[in-house]
Amino acid sequence: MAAAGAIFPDKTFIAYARPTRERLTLELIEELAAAKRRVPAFAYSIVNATPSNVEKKMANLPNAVRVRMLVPDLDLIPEKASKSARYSFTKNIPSLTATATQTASWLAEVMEAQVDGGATVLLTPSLLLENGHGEVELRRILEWADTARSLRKVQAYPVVTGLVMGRDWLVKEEKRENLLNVLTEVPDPAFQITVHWPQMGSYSQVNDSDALRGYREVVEVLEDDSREVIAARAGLAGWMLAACGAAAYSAGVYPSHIYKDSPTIRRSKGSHPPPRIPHYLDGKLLSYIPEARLAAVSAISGPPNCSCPDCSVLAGGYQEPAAFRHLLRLHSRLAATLASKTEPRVFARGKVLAAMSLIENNPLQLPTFVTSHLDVWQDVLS
Amino acid sequence: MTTIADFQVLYRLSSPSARKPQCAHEEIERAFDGERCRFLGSGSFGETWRIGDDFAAKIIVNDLFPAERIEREIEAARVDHPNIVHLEEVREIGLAGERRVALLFGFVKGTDLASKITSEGYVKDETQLRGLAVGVFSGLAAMNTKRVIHRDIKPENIQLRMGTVARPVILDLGLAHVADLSSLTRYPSALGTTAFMPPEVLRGEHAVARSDVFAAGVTLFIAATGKHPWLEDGKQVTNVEYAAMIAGGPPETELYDEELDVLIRDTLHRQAFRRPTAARSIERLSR
Repeated sequence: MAAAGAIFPDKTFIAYARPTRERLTLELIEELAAAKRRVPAFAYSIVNATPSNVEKKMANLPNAVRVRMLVPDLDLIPEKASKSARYSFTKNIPSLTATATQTASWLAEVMEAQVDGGATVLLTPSLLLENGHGEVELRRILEWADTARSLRKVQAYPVVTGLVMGRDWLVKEEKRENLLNVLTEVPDPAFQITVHWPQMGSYSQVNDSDALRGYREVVEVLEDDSREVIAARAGLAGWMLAACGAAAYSAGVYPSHIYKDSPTIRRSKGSHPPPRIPHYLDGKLLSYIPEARLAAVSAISGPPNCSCPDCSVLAGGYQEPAAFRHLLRLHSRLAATLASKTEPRVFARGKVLAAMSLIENNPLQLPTFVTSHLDVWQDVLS
Repeated sequence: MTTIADFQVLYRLSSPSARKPQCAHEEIERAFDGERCRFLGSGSFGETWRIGDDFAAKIIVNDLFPAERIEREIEAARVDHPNIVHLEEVREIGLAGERRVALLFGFVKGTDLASKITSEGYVKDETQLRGLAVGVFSGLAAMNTKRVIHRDIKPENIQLRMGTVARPVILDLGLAHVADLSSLTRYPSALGTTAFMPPEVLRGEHAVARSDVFAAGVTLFIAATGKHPWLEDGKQVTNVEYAAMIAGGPPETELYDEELDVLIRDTLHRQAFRRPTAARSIERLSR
């Protein structure tokens, strides 16, 4: 049940975009919102974007997008030295250079840039809570949030405390307990939790069972304590975490939007990027399915397993924009369905079990890595 | 995670110190303008005297008593609530030629919970017990809103107004602490009374508001049963053994009031974040 004064009164899907590839996502959101489709929230990473560019993008969003967030991203930690040279973030929002000794004026800059950019919900910057330690960083993050809420320009806005953490903070009981003891003690009404997931295949979903189990406990405890959690950039696992108690989750149209450990930015000199394999997100299988298997899956459960108009397009042949539009619609619909259930976790587990059954009983010949998360998820949801 | 050295945990229900005063009776009366004075007890800080009908003075006579603890108590006692002892005045007095700080609190007529249980046994009237719980949690909730953590909740520090169990007043804010963010993740040495300490404090982490809830839970358990949830009266165990006992969960209170029974058990959870807040505890008892 949504708490009074909640930032996210329903289970909310937040469409996430990065400036390097945002054009398509923005167009999709505009199109969906114009068609009165449900995309109530949008988060935009502001690394590598000029303030005027950010402002323009946010201003152009349709009114239907009620929650607008600008993310002071920390993508580049822990490899900031090499990547900072590559990205011109210092001209924009300098949270990438954040250290435990940032000044109050820096914090004000980060927060006020979001207000100026047109955000309706503000997010505090985070430091990475690394696996081995991070207590000092946690304290500093919460101090920033405390200070941020008191800034004159910020006071009129709901503020979400950003937390970026290694999986140890979810997996190790002592660290998780310490985290929860601290988070339930501070007055912060909402937290965005972004986990540095271990590396996984491009089209895999998060299947780190220990971390997901710990994450479930974190969202359950915080929900019980009337705090809202955004499970950020965990792909469809965010939906599962929303079923466990997260108020919202964010995901982008690209698998690379899942926040993974040490993402590779530079390739070796002269090498070419591997060709991108077209995939679409299947609502019944809760997995990314390669285009090559689209026909086989459709033969069993109908075109990409939902009734959206883009699925008819996909049925006639794969098109990336249609696959992406379908993905955003699907996320929105999945989130909305959770909001309508009295026991969202039970409902979500039922969906996962149904997906497993479909795969088990039909010769779909799917690569195992695209569906290996399902068994983990049904266990986490049980 | 920081760990602290092993130490012994001892539980013994006792009423406040009945030792003889070190300060001369006449000196105290003179310091308080001839008001009628009566010795109430002593602690590491010095002595507590009743002054006239309406005040209790906590007189700091121990020169080594940390000044910051006095300051903290003054700050904490500014929480104005019927279930928290009220600080009326801070006064400097002359005692045997020395200048001493005296904290003047409103005197709460009645007896403390430890004395009540010692003399009359556990609280059999469950309505009174529920009133005790609501009163203690109300006081703690008021402290929480000001980010004050008491850190020494125990039956000896719960005064019962007019001896009525359902009218508790939290005393002795000497270990109280105004929590700030730095204190949440820094690990100091454990303060408080060991038999009322939750696991996070036993292992050297800082007390949080829910640590007070745990101590309140132990206090309520004692009030409800006459026994400590885990420790035998007078028997010592190590902090490690005690933490293991807590991890096993609390025994049954056998209360008829099921809501209160469940609440007490929940407040005694080994993990702080699993315990209800003081405010939530009141809500649960008010349903």
